[in-house]
Amino acid sequence: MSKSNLGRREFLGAAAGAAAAGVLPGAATAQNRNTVTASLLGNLPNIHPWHVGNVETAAANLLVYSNLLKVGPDGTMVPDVAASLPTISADGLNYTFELRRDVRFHNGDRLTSEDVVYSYDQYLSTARRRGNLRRFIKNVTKDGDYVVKVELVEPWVGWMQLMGYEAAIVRRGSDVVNEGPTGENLYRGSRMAGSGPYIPTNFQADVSAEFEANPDYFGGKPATQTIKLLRIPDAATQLANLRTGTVDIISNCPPKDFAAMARTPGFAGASRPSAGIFYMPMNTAKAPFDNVHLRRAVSCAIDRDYICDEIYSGLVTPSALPAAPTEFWYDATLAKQLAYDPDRARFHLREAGMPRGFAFEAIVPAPSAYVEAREAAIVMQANLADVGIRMNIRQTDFVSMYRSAQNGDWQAFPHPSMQSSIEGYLIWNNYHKDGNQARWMGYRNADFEAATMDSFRYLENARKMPGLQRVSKILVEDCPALWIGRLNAYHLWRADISGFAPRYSHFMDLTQVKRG
Amino acid sequence: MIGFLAGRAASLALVLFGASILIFLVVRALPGDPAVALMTQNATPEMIAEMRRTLGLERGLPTQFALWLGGALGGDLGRSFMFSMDVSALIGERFPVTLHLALTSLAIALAIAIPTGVLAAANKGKALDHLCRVVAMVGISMPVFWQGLLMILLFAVTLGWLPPGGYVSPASGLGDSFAHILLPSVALGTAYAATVMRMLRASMLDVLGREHIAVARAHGIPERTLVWRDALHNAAIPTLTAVGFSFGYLLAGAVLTEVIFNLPGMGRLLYESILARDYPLVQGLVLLNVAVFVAINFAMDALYVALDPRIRR
Repeated sequence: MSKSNLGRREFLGAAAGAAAAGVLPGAATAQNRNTVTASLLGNLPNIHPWHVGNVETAAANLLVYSNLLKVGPDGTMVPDVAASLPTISADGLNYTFELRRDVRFHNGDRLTSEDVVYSYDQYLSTARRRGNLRRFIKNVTKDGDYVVKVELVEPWVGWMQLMGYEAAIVRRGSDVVNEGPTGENLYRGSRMAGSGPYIPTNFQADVSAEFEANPDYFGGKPATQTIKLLRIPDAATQLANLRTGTVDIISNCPPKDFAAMARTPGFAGASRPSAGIFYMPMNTAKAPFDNVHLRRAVSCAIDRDYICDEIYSGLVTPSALPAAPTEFWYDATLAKQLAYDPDRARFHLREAGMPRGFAFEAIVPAPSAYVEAREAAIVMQANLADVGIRMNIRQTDFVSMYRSAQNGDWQAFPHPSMQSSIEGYLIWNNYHKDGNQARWMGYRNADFEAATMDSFRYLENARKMPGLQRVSKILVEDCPALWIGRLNAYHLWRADISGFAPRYSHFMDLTQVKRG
Repeated sequence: MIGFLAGRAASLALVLFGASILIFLVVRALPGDPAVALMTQNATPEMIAEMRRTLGLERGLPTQFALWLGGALGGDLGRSFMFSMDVSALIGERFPVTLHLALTSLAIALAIAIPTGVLAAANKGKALDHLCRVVAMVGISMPVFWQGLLMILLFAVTLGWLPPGGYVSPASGLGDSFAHILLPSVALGTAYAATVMRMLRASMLDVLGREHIAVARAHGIPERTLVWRDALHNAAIPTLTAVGFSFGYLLAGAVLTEVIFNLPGMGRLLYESILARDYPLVQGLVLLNVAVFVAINFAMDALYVALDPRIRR
């Protein structure tokens, strides 16, 4: 009996030893020099040319597809399959693009103007998020094999920003409606629809995607042979994976960990102001925020520096205006009118006939890519209480929040919002009466709308400036939202990675990334 | 025995049908609109209306239910709004991950719970009993996600012995697969071990206090045989219930464990599908969970019959 027991113990010990011997060496995986792995916090449900619903799908889209122009790292438009920036007619309605002649799709077909026309026809009739572009584009026609003309309904350069990240050019005949159970109709064999620097080779929705370098890419073969995207939905786990070398770049981490990790030997990190914004739209169509003095009182009661420095560890740049202090259209004098000043807040309360304050409900999203939204809301609650305003917090998820918005059943939404550009989202979409978000905010001002459209007739900042000055002035007077600050795009990566930096548009650009 | 089991099977089928109605209604009672979830804040009301038409949400609820149930009976659980994939295909991708995690967690839970539960009962009131109970209390009290993070920090980040997460199928290499599943299984298994251990200890104490054990002891049967053979056999039935339901919960998907250890299983999928108001996917996953519980219930009924002849009468 005892002999038999001893044998079992010996067997179990040997088995455990063998298992450990088999397991432990496997834990330390050597990095392949030709592979770079990046982790994504959010969902990657598809690799579709037009269904770009978040920064994760935008990052994958950038690897696989090309556009006429693309959004550069600093937010300006740069040529992609277009040979140069377009020629714009004097009335701002007609754009002429000359195409590069060396662009080939992943299946080897040459990209011509017919593909561009096919893509826009399909995009405008089938894509889920075509609302903005359909409103502005009248028609897209070809003029020879390598010239495309786009006619707009009204002059607005912002269409190019939208086009630059959600209306990719696909090979004519691509099945963009029935992409297949895992999207294979868009990237397998002869059906490959993209012409970007990488070709998808493996994709499991919400889990991982793998891309191989396109040897015939018109911008030159990428330096890294394989890019892997790995969905890691927890920020702490992302950090652990970065530290162990399972991933090379992470898309997001808690702001409090960012600075410490960026200083840690073996790791690097950078941040830069982006087009994203942390703000609180107010429902100007119903009480209490149909009163501009109450909106201004809220704005003047908020200590933005504290929220941005203490809650977001400096990764939100404080600003009482939609513009960031680093941007060309920021006006410091105007900003003072809405900046933190409790006495001014009390003044506005008196002007509104509510010297003892008022109460409102703020719907705070949870979970959020910026998990600190709730903590920031609590600081805001305390700031507002100092001047007698009671902010009741209701936490819900984004879907319920937008449902409330669509129904008009809301008063205020303090939330971080990833935006792609000044023209497309930060101003037009949020505050112009035809902008989609402005519809549910209830904000209407004809002077503002005229100033917006005046500004965004032009590509050049100098020509936009007069209109944007009017835009800023009107927004400060009307104060349809409380602007807290502009979100920084920030990433962490292992120190042996190069060719990567945060972008103005938030999403990761892995097209130039390499090891060493 | 066959008649008894047939009766149970019929009643469980009714439970499944009732649950399907409940699932369908509860999912639609969730605040929020799948069309809004797919299109976010940039959608116009016209775009949302068009998306609702595309998703088939403009049809009446009875029609939607009949279509879904008809499809489900034929094995077609519909198409996910979020992933544009068949729900059955998505479940087919994710279920093996959850099954793998559930089986290894259960194995670890039983490997801990059975010896500690038996030893604690056999040494009632002694130091070993107190130690086991304290450890069990800690196991129950410590949140799995916290334990998981600590384990990642120690075994993956600090010691570098094991990967911090991710999933590797056994088909891709047993060693690598074991290395990836070990930490989440231990995190999850220890929590369930505590529950099963406490249940087993209580059952064992009940059995050890019975007359037939006293008689056997008086006949000189060694204590070790009494405890490990006679008492454990009798204490197994109530413990089996706890084990069965633990396995059911594990198969339903351990959301936090799957998120913390980045395992693409059913729990994580359910979490994502609820956030996105992906009705077909939520319905498919919850229906599968119910079916798993129903199946486990049936299997346990069958096991009771096998273990306790009195139930057959």
